[in-house]
Amino acid sequence: MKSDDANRLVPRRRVLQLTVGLAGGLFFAGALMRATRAAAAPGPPPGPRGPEPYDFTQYYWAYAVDTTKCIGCGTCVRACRRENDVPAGCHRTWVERYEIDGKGEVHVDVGADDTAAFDANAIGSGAEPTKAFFVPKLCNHCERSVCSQVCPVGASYGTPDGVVLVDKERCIGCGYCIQACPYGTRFINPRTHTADKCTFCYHRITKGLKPACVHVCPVGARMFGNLKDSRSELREILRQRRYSLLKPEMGTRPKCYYIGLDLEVK
Amino acid sequence: MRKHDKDVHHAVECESCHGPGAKHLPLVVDREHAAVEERPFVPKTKDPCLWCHRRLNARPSRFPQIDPQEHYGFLGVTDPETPCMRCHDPHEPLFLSSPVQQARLHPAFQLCSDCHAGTIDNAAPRPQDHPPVFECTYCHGDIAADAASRAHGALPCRRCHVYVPENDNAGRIIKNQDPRFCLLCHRATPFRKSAGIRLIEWPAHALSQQPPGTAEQCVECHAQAIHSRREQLQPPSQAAR
Repeated sequence: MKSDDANRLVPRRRVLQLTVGLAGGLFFAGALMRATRAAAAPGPPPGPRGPEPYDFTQYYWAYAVDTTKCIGCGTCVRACRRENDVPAGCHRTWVERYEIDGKGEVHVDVGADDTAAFDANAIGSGAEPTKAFFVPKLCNHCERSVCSQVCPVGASYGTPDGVVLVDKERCIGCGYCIQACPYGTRFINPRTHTADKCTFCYHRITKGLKPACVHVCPVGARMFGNLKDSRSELREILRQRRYSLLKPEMGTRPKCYYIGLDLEVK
Repeated sequence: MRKHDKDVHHAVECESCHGPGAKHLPLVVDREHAAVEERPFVPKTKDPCLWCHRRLNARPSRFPQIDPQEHYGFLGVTDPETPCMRCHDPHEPLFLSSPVQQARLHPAFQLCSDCHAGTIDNAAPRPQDHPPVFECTYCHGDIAADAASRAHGALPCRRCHVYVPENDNAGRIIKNQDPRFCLLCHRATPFRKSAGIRLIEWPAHALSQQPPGTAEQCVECHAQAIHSRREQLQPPSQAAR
């Protein structure tokens, strides 16, 4: 699944090109894409699933996390790392563990650097916490994303289908967005020296696949779907379950919905 | 259908254990044109299992978890690096069709260390391939003999007795008491011939009792068709002991 980094983030220019193509005539665009695909025929066959071509006007992506289901195995973190070639020491997603003891003190930690798994309880000395749980975190792909607003060169942007991306060809690596993000989900990629973050696995979702972390979650704690589809699984979950958001007071309108979120989770 | 769809790991995606399969996938999709033939990665140690199954305070209590030290101590496994896969098939972790695993999980279990001294030799056959350790009749011979004389005598014990895990290390083999279980064979349906099995109309049969609905389980009336209870077979003095 590793491929060239440059292909991963869909740059703004590409989105504009697609828009122009659609406006110019869907027929022509379809023929062009068929021709492109025919030219790239040798090599492994295309994936077995997926709507093609991807029509981004039909989607508005969102994410849901059921914290009551998460077992803290770290499979999502490992999958993200391999799918997106995330450098060691950096995280596009991670799992936080909260243990709250009898005095109300909150102990928070994350999994091991290499395996993202938890080897021992956070509170040592065998003391029993009164409550303990895991909270997976990732970019919230805010509707009003602060990171995009502060970017001085317009490298961070929101796509029409609800994903916040970074154009690494424009990014100058100033790190302003990293300071602006209230959720701490961005980092400077030590290889490209540009801002990097979760993309909802944009290269996968545009092919009809789920993000890698959602795909591998063994207990179904991570969910993903299209808000524009009234019959999607995610819409059904948001209709039925009680959810909340991370830092709603920031006014960023995040699109990661958390089920069973504790007040202590910041 | 994937290999493990019928067991408890059915919700675990292949990639969760085997890693991404980009090079492996062309082999599955189109074997003839696959450029690279790559077998999926297989974890060899116990760590990948413990990423999910190590006992942690923050883990939901309904999720199966173990403390490896406790688990190995209980089972008499001497080498702490023994991989879980020596006993558990990751595709069927509650695999029970081999007698040795039944022995391990039954309350009157037999530990590996009862016969095998020292560390478990990795060259030994897998537990799934182990020759039988015990038959139900070794301990429950009187019940088995009684059952053989009844209408259900031709059925093996485990047709009705199912394994129910009680904690991390042990479980009980109990009888399946759900009436729907009996109805799997005995319910009259338009597409089924009798073939020597007594068929009943359901739920009319239950409603025909006097007074209706007094027996909730089939065995309350039909115990004589299966086998006697243990206390009925043993003299009172022996049963009390």
